[in-house]
Amino acid sequence: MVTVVKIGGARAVDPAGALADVASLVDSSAEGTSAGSQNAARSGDGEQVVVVHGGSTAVDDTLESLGEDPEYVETPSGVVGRFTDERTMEVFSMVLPGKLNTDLVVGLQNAGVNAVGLSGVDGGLLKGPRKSAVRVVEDDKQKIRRGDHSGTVKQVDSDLLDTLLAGGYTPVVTVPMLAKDSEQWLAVNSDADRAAAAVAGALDADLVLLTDVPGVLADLDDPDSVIDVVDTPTEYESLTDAAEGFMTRKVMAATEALEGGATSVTIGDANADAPVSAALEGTGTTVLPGALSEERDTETAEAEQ
Amino acid sequence: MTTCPECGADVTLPDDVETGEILDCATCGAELEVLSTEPVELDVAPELEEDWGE
Repeated sequence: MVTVVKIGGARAVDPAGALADVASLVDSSAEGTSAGSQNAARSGDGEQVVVVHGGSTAVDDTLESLGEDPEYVETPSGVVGRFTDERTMEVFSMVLPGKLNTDLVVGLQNAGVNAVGLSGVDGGLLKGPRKSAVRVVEDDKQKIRRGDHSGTVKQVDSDLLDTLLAGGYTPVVTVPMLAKDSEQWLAVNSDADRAAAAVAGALDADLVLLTDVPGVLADLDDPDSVIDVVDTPTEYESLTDAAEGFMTRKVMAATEALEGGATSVTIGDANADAPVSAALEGTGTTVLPGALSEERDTETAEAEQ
Repeated sequence: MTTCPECGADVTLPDDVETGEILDCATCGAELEVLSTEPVELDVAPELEEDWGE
């Protein structure tokens, strides 16, 4: 079984705990330097883990340090997302597959994990259509903005990930993705939660979405009201009703992961002790395939017979 | 005033019409994108999935 771990990019998230936990999962005997433990990692009987990361706040920080303002737009349904013009796309490519991915790979190497950094562009790992036009709401008017460099992952090269995992490597994946625009491929921005969902679906994996809160709260004012397990359509309805703000995007990613074939999705706290292991043991909000429609469950049951 | 590219009916334009703005045709209900303002040129607005990046 493969575990896909999405590490968030929020300022309040420290990836150190997650990286150490990934190392313990990959090979509990891993210790010391990467060079000394690579063979141990290859021969270990630990979990296979794929790390996926975003980093939108780092992109904003870099843009601001260059004297440029990040631009966010609101969609008609109220989701606020980045508008990625050509210049922002350049900075995005510098920051995510550049600094952030390198830092996480080095962190895992120091933890004894033979990590390999990949963006969605490498080997055509994450592919889909480019979307250059977006509907936005500005000054209470619906408008179409053109020139956006974004896309949605429709295809994951799971063979590439399987090959790396079989060789004892731990892939560390980030966006951009590779998008087709007319006859030309180009790198475009894509939501990292949804990219992680696509990867988890393609690998039939457990997905752990680490963020800076302990899960989806039934009552936003009560940090102890974490929704535990979601395994029926009724519980799923309660989950979607409870999710607000950025959590709606996490729940959407969870839904897409399960629709794509993931076996479970847990939204958990990146700053908890051993956050990945804790999430796999049920700490946080776990969404299971039963949460999706009964009709789909029936179809799946029939297909399995 | 201009005409709807979908049904040919008259479409009333707001005074502050902007490029990219989406207007509704009061006759056929089509969503129309303002492609330019001088002169005003309309086309049927594309259906777009909601999407966003990182």
